[in-house]
Amino acid sequence: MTELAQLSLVDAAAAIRRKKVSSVELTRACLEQARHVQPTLNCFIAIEEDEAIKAARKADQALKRSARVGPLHGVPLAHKDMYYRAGKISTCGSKILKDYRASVTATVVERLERAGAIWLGSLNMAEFAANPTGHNDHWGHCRNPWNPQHVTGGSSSGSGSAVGARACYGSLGSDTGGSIRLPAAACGVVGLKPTNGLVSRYGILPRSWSQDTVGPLTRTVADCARVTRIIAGADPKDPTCSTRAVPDFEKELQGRIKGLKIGVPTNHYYEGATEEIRRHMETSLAVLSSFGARVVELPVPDPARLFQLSNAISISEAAVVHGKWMRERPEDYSLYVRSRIEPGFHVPATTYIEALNLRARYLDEFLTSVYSKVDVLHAPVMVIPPPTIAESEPRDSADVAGLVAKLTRNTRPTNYLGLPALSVPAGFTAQGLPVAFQLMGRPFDEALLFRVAHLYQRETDWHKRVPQL
Amino acid sequence: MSASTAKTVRAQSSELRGIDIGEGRAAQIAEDIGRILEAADAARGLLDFNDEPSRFTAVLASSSPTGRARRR
Repeated sequence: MTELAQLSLVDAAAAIRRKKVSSVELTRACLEQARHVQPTLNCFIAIEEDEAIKAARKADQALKRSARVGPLHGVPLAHKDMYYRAGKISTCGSKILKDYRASVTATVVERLERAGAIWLGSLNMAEFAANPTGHNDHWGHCRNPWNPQHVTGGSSSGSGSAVGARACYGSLGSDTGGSIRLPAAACGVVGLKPTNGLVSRYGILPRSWSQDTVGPLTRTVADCARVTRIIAGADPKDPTCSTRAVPDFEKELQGRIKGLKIGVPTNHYYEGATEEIRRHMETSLAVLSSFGARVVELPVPDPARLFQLSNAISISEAAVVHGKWMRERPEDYSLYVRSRIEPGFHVPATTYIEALNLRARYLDEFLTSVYSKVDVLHAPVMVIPPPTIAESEPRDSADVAGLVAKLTRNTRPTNYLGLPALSVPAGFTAQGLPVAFQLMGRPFDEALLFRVAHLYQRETDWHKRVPQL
Repeated sequence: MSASTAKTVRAQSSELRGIDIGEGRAAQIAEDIGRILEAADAARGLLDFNDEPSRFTAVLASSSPTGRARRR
């Protein structure tokens, strides 16, 4: 791996802007790393080498002509293969859409392009964004850069794997029940599930439109803040998108956290946690305390019931998305995904609507009983290290619900509440697998999550460690 | 509400959706749905007749940061 491939996204963008390196050089460095890791990790579905180099040349020429360039000018990124580009194939990790060419381009893709980013390729993902491990029977399982025998987490499997392996400087994922935070945690990178409505969902594969969110996976918190600022904000094409002004997240990284109250849940979030995970959580809290933050233990409204209500919405909406294909070509789904969609046909409509109506009630309750007492919540993303691919492969439909619940128990409740959550690397197990905490916050308070996590990364170097591949 | 049964799931699946599933799988689905119905049953008492799904977006929008940390 070249030193260029190891730069952070923010440093890569600065190096281009200052003309210390060209976009072509950075793009070649990423392509070289992508080609090197692909046989081991299978993190790409398509590497668009010629187009990427062509775009990088154009970026370099543009910089020669003008100093006014975007905040990602010439920086190569790669994205989960569910972000539509008009006329280009988006497989969504499936067999069913292997030749699907969307007629529209996702708003977030347009915004990244306007900011100057280079499209390096499309990344592997769980079929139809519907499993939390990264297994994919159609395009091959995506593998963890820290140990290819282990899962990447899903569904944004390729995003976690490629960013972790330094094959691109950042990536878009999507999170409906943990699909950004899980691969970020398992692959040792940063991942943001934003507040519902912060980022446009226009032009992406729907999984469960009431809970789908779009967010970045990056190497550092500062990188994540930059990409989020670029993609966030009102979009007339997505009426569920908020019209509030987007803060300058990078500027807000600079504040202090003295006196900030960091909540640690006394129920649910540590159930089943290994001693190693608990130890890493305690150590990360000690780092945050050293900045003057106060750790406050408190019970939170039962996340297990939120999990079930979230599931009611998710499987009902997925059954609508997939109804036609489930009737006409069920054999083209993997066992994993078919088993997750099937129950959605049997949720009574009244139960689905009740689950939607209850969201406001439970959000109110959560805000009152938690966020009136603390500023952020801190908890493990996963209570166990990333399992092996073999041990998390379902043998039968009956295995699926348990596997999904085991991995998403700490992530899915936040999707139901629509709140922001940031996954942050917090160490490694004795076997060398990444461990991560998540910071959860009030609606649209991503700036505070970034600030806390950025301070943490100033004191730790977990995010700087690079897997040997 | 009574629990969803394998028989109901199978009948719904084939008669309403045109999807045939085996008895064993129908029993698993009934179990999955049972957990969801149980959670909804337990929470239903919280709902008011004026509630509607869009209230969720309104609560999110009205609960942006109070700014304790931001003022520092």
